[in-house]
Amino acid sequence: MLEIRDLHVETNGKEIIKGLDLEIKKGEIHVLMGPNGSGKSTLSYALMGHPKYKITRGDVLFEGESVKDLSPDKRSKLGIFLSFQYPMEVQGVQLSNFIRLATDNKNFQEFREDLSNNMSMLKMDKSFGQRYLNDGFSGGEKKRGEILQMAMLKPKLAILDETDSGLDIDALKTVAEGINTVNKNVNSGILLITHYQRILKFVKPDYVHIISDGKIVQTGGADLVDKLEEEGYEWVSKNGHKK
Amino acid sequence: MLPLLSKIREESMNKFLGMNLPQEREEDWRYTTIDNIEFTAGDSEIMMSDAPEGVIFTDILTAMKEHSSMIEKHMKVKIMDKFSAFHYANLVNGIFIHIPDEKSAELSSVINGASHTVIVLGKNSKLKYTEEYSGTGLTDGVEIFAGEDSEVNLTSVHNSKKTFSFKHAALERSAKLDWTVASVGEFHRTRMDIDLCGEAASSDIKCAFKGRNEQHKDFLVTTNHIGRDTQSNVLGKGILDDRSTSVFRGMINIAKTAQRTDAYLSSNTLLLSEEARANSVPSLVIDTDDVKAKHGATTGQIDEEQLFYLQSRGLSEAQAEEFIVQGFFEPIVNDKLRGVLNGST
Repeated sequence: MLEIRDLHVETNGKEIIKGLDLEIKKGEIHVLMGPNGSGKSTLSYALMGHPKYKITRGDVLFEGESVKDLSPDKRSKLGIFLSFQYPMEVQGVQLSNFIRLATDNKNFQEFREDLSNNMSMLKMDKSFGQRYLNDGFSGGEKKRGEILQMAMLKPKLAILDETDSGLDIDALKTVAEGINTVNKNVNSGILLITHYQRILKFVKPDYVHIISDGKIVQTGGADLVDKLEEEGYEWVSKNGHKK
Repeated sequence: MLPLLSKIREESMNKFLGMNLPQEREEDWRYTTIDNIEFTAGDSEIMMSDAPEGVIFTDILTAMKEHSSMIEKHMKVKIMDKFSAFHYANLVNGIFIHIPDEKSAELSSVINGASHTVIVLGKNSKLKYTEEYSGTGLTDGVEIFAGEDSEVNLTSVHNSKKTFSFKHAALERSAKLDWTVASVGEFHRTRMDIDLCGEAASSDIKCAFKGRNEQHKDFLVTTNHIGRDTQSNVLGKGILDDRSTSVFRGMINIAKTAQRTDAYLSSNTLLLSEEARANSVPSLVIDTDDVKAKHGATTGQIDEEQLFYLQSRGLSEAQAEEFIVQGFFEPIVNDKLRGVLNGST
């Protein structure tokens, strides 16, 4: 479904992603881990089409078609979703109205039920829907809001950029449950980008990739996470560039 | 002519004749160019809603006849410049509102042309009032006297060609004023003076403006904290497109007597074109200790990160922009203003 081939990305005139290859099939959960500054967030922005992140070489294929020249909304319409590490606050726009416009669901009854079910799953109070988009939300509320939008948009591919950071253990479990539910019900492919291992107690990956200096340097199964937990990222840089 | 009216007109006319037009070098006029001013009074027409029993809601000439003592007590002729002098010198039409003690009313008016409105609120009374201005009147004015524990909620909509507005309010002990002024006309200068006289009086002033083409919006909002424990909030919020311009001046004066004052002043302007210009000038004069006073201003174009965020959820760039623009006024608008500000402009 997603094929990233020899991807090079630069921002502010600096190359951050330096030849990255990755393939994600329908329903698979991939975890991308790596130290700060290794290019995790740059990859997620580039995949979604942020204008400040330029793909200078390589390609991104989604269901066989190149998406690298498409605007973010076109990518979204194809079924790509990005959960932001720092979701933007937009005053005056109610969360529920926004989701309704984004999902473009003409059946109001169906929309209401779907929204209500997903909000209960994420343990979000109904009043949340009336609040302005992320305006005055706590860090945890913003992340739940992102997962809610993912659950409503039912993407084919969800890129989750540090969705686990800044969450307490209860919020982390709730968010993980949301990810698992969407993965199971919609068969979404998931690219879970994280700095920490703790969310992986609740979300079981099919593949784990380790990124360092803009390249994937290790790929393995869930056991790679245990190894990383024991040895830390230093082990990666020492033993890097093994495939 | 009524003796009170002819006195006001005559004195104001004398002042008008002796005054010059404001100069651009005067600080209050630095960002506003005055040209092609025609000092003609013109016709004016007023439509008013019904009022509940006991409440006076009438035209100002009738009020000068029938309630002259109240008018004389509360009407303050404030001449600050040539335009305000002209305003009083040509006073022919307007509205008088009196809400007696403990009473409440919801009123509205539509004003086409020049007018002067005097509002008097008795103790513990409540007023919700919407006024809409249109047409070619050069000036309009509102004066409010809010008695102890009274509450006023006012919405003023200005959609006139070239207008100078004067708005003044004096609040007694624990009186509350909530005033939203929306300006969408060609050229509009609004001068507001809010006097928080009694202790624990509070005011919440919201100025919303929208400009396009060569339109110009000018707000000069002064809040005078006189009583102790008084609170004020002034917020300017504007969207400018094309070559439109604005100036938002907020002044907070805290007198020696106004201990434990809480004052907040802020303005945000969203620029939709490269040529639009917004000026924001805050000023705070504090003559006592133990006060909280803060101000802040932002001016900028639509945030690229916000656009990207909304686009990533499937909204086209145009839809995302419209969302941000429509949402901009949402925190301060009511149903009436939503149509005015998010309409066809």
